[in-house]
Parts: sequence; C-alpha cells; structure tokens
Amino acid sequence: MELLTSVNRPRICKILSVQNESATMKTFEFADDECSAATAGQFIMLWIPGVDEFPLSLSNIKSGSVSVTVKPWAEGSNSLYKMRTGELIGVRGPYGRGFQLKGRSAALVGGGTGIAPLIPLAEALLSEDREVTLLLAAKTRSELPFLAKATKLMDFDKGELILTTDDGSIGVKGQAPKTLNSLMGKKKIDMVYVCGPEFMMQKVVQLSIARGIEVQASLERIMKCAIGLCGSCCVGDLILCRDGPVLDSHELIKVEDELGLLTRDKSGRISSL
Amino acid sequence: MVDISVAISSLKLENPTLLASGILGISPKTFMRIKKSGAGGIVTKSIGLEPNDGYSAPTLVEVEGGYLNAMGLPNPGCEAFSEELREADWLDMPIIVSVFGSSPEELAKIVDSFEDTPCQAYELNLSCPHVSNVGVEVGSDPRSVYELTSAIKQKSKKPLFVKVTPMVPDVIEIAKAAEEAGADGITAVNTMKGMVIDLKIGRPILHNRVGGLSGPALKPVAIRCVYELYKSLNIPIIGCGGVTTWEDAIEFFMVGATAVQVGTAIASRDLILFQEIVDGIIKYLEEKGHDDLKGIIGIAHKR
Ligand SMILES: Cc1cc2nc3c(=O)[nH]c(=O)nc-3n(C[C@H](O)[C@H](O)[C@H](O)COP(=O)(O)OP(=O)(O)OC[C@H]3O[C@@H](n4cnc5c(N)ncnc54)[C@H](O)[C@@H]3O)c2cc1C
Ligand SMILES: Cc1cc2nc3c(=O)[nH]c(=O)nc-3n(C[C@H](O)[C@H](O)[C@H](O)COP(=O)(O)O)c2cc1C
Ligand code: FES
Repeated sequence: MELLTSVNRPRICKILSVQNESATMKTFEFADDECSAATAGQFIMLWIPGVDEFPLSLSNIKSGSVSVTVKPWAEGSNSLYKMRTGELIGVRGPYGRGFQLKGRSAALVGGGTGIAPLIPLAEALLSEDREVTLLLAAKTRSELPFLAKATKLMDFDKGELILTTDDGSIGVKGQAPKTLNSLMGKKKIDMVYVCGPEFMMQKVVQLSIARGIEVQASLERIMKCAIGLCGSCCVGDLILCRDGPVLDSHELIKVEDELGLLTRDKSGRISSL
Repeated sequence: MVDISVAISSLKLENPTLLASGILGISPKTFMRIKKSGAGGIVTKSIGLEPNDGYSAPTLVEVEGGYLNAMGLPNPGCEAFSEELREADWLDMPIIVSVFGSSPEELAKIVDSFEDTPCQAYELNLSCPHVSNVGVEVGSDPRSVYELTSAIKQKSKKPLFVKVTPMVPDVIEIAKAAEEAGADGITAVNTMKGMVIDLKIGRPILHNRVGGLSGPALKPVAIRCVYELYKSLNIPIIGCGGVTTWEDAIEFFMVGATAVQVGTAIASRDLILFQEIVDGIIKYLEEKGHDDLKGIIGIAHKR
C-alpha cells in the first residue's frame, strides 16, 4: 500500500466559475491535475465540508481546468447548486473505468445529467477522427443542457447533433431510444454509448444488442467509498465504482436482470427503480 | 500435498482466508465472485434489527498506512437481508452473518431471522468504534459481552464467533467472557478510533469526525492481541487487521490464529489477492515441510 496517496483523500479546490447549463443544471469549474488526466466517463467524489460527499462525472476534462455538472435533488446536490465562484470543495479521484474509444461511427445517447460524461467522450472520439452522432434528450427545451457546447463541437464533417424532447419544443418530438432506432436504420453505427435515466439506458442497450451493435453504458448506484470496499454500489456481481461506472455489452448482458429494474438504497436494501 | 483446509467449530473452510465484515458483504452475487477469487468464505456486513442508511459522507479516507472509516453500520436490516439470503439458495459457500445489537432480545430476533438461510455461522460485532450503544461501549464491558453472547447461543446451534475491539486495557478479559458464554471462536480485531484533519479547511475529513483505523497500521496491534489471546483461550482465534500479503497471514498463524480475515487490502490489491495469499501459504508450508497449518499455528510462543 502506498503511503500518503493524494487520490483517496479530498484535495481542496476553489470553484473557478459557475455556469447555468440549462434551467435545471449548473456547471462548476475547478483546477486539479489528477482530474485533468482523467478519461471520459470517470467520476470524482465531491465533498462539501459539513454536508456530504457524492459521485459526479467529469463534464469537461482539459489540462488547465475540469468541471462537473449537477442537477439539484437532495441535500448534497442542493448545496453544491447554491455554491459560488471562490468557494471551496473537496475532490478525490478520478475513479472507475471510463468509456473505451472504439468503432468508426459512434452514436452517443444522453439524457439529463447523463449528458455530462458524453461531452468529453465526444471530444475524445472526434480527436481520434471517428464519426460521432450526438443524440441529446430532455423533457423540454429549457432543460436541455450543453446546447451551445454540443452545437459547436458537432460543427465538423465528422459530427452530427440530434436533439429530442418529450414535448417537441426543440428537435424531434419523442423519446431518445425511438430516435436512435431510426438513426440506426439510416446510418452505419458500429458503437453506441449511453448515459441517462436507467429505463432509457435499458431500452438503448436492448436495442443495440438486438441489432448486434456494441454498447457501453454508464450506470449510477449509491457510492460511498468509490474504492471497492463498502459494497454500496454492487450491481449483479460487479462492483460498479471499480468495474464501472461504464459497462460494456458483455457486462450489461450479465446484469440484465437488474438493469432498469433494481437498485439498492443507502442501507443496501434492494428497491425497484 | 499440503492441506490448508480448516475447521472452526463445525464451520469448514477450504482455506483459512475470509472476507472481513463490512467489506462488500451485501450482495449474494458478489459473495460468489469473492469465493471464486480464492476466499475460503465471507463475513457479511454487520446486520441490525432495522435498516440503517449509515452516516453522511465522507465515510472513508486514506491515512498513513491504512484507512479511517465511519460508515455508521449501514445495513438493510435483518428482515430484508435474510430474505435476500433465503432467495439466494444457489449460494454454495461458507457464509458468516455478522450481527450487532444493543440488547439480548434484539440479537435473539436478528439471529432468528437467519436460521433458515444459507448462513452457516454468526459473528457478533461488539467492537464498532464509531456507533454508540452497539459498539465498543458494550464490547468493553465483560458482563454485556457475556449476556449478548449467551443470547445468541441460546437461540442458535450454529457456530458463533465474537469479534473484539483492541481498544481495551485487557482484551483477554473480554474474550474470556465470550468464551464462558459459549462462543465458538474469537475474531481479533476490529478497528481503532482515529481522526484526520484537513489543513486547508481546518476540520475533520470524516463527516462523523471520528472513524476506525484499518489496514497495515493496525496489524501490529492485531498481532499482539491474537498473541495474548492464544495463551489464555481454548477456542480458536480468527486474526484480522492489516492482512495484505501471505506473509501477513503466516504471521497471524504463528501467534495463534486458525484463520485470517482480509478487508482494507482489497482497495489496493483487488479481489485476486485471496488467491495470492492462499498460494503463498501453500508454498510456504511446502518449503518448510509442513502437511497442514497445525505445524505453524502458535509457534511464536516458544521461547
Ligand atoms: C458514477 C456516477 C456519476 C454521477 N454523475 C452525476 C453528474 O454528473 N451529475 C449529477 O447531477 N449527478 C450525478 N450522479 C448522481 C449524484 O451522485 C447524486 O445521486 C445526485 O446528485 C443526488 O445527490 P444528493 O446527495 O443531492 O441526493 P441523495 O441524498 O443522494 O438522494 C436523495 C434521493 O433523491 C433521489 N435521486 C438522487 N439522485 C437522483 C437521480 N440522479 N435521478 C433520480 N432520482 C435521484 C433518490 O430517490 C435519492 O434517494 C452520479 C452518480 C454516479 C454513481
Ligand atoms: C469500510 C469498512 C467497513 C467496515 N464495516 C464493518 C462492519 O460492518 N462490521 C465489523 O465487524 N467490522 C467492520 N469493519 C472492520 C473490518 O471488518 C476489520 O475488522 C478491520 O477493517 C481490520 O481489518 P483490515 O485491516 O483487513 O481491514 C469495517 C472496515 C472497513 C474498512
Ligand atoms: S462505492 Fe464502495 S464499493 Fe463501490
């Protein structure tokens, strides 16, 4: 065991900027060398002293600074949402296994905060000259995050941006899996990445597997330690904080009987999703 | 061929390594994976009467030579967890259910719920350093230890191991109380209280402020406890605290342990470390010309 590692102990960082990402999400920028070396899909444990510590995906990974994007739910995310430039947060990680860059033409399907890790993923894929179709879904236009960034990012020959909203206020009206299905009929997609509400991921995974296309999904479970000790994040026989959060087709088939159906609460009790 | 199987009371283990309580220990499917990684068996998370979310995070932080944790005994409660075990009837491996409680009545109820599950033995956790009423306070008082141990022994015929805290002046007195009450083995030890401060914000990192120290830093304390207990007890001892390599396991056997538990080391080494420890023990025994573990258990006591 290495002594005094800086990875499993919070590093105090100053919030460099706060941006509204949509009507319901904010992006917080901070500087941290370890996080700058992260891969898309990896997550950090973010500590708000005196409140809580919880997992967040990196929504931007650059050499000078990185960011996370959060939607307020309960105590932890609510207090982060209220924080301002100059305030201090603790950061440990990055943890877990991120997305593996594969395929010639990838479809990235994101919903809600699940879009966060797909932005650096799209950047990484494009930088390797792979084709990217970014399919972003939200209930309504005002809740669609990363719109400006995604538009700029997809403004290349190799990129295409498709938006879907439940109410049709922008882009295609309807649900993301349906839009993906028709996309797969039109374009030769050989790799699918998905992150979002789990029922959506379940559909996208089923669709991809049925069509024989490889798929990677980034799952969420309660994470307390993030280093494979506490067991709060188990899915099937996988320890999500270490084996995931990104699972590949093979692993997703293994956890099929839980995906989109079952989770564990903070006590470890099984509950339906 | 070296035989490293061990029997602790009626509990039979293919090899003397167990997963320590509170580490993973919540999902039956992971139990099987841990077994396949080489463990002789697993101890579950400590289970109480009611579901408990545990403390707010941070619940775990790395320190010099190990970790401090203040999980706060999160667990699904005996009803939900026993149900999950009952449904996992395919579980074909030694499962030790760890239990905690503040009264004999409470423990009797908890144990009762596991009697018809794949649970093969119990471990009584009287030694959690960061939860009041069920941890070290009761575990430091020989009379409470006697009462709580008896309560379980009256309820169940399955072997019972009592897990002790190193944070008492006389660990022998506590273990003897458990032995007199019918315990079939002693697990030594649980974590020790510690604290760590972040300099930039000037406050403890753990939400609970205080947590339990585990990992290599705890090992010399655990080795000393097992050494003291071996001389005074007639029941087997399961060593626990800082086991990371096969050499650590051998050290525990030499002071008198019959088996060892592995916890924190999983964070830095992955589950495969069980197989590495097992292979190392076999190789060591072969080289020294022993047929089984009996040849080395307790040899450090010779003068
Ligand atoms: C690997 C990983 C990456 C994550 N990345 C992000 C991210 O980039 N951005 C982000 O905002 N969140 C992300 N999360 C979720 C995040 O960790 C928290 O769960 C969320 O911010 C709420 O935290 P909280 O402490 O406010 O609420 P908690 O106290 O944890 O939750 C309170 C209750 O709110 C509900 N709830 C919490 N989160 C959700 C949710 N996501 N969807 C539906 N109901 C919910 C649940 O019923 C929960 O019991 C990620 C989680 C994981 C495991
Ligand atoms: C995250 C974590 C959770 C723990 N939870 C429990 C528990 O629920 N019950 C228990 O008896 N011991 C618990 N322990 C203590 C361990 O079982 C073990 O006694 C201690 O960690 C020393 O062993 P190690 O150095 O191999 O980790 C926990 C330890 C850790 C690190
Ligand atoms: S979060 Fe603790 S094991 Fe994954």
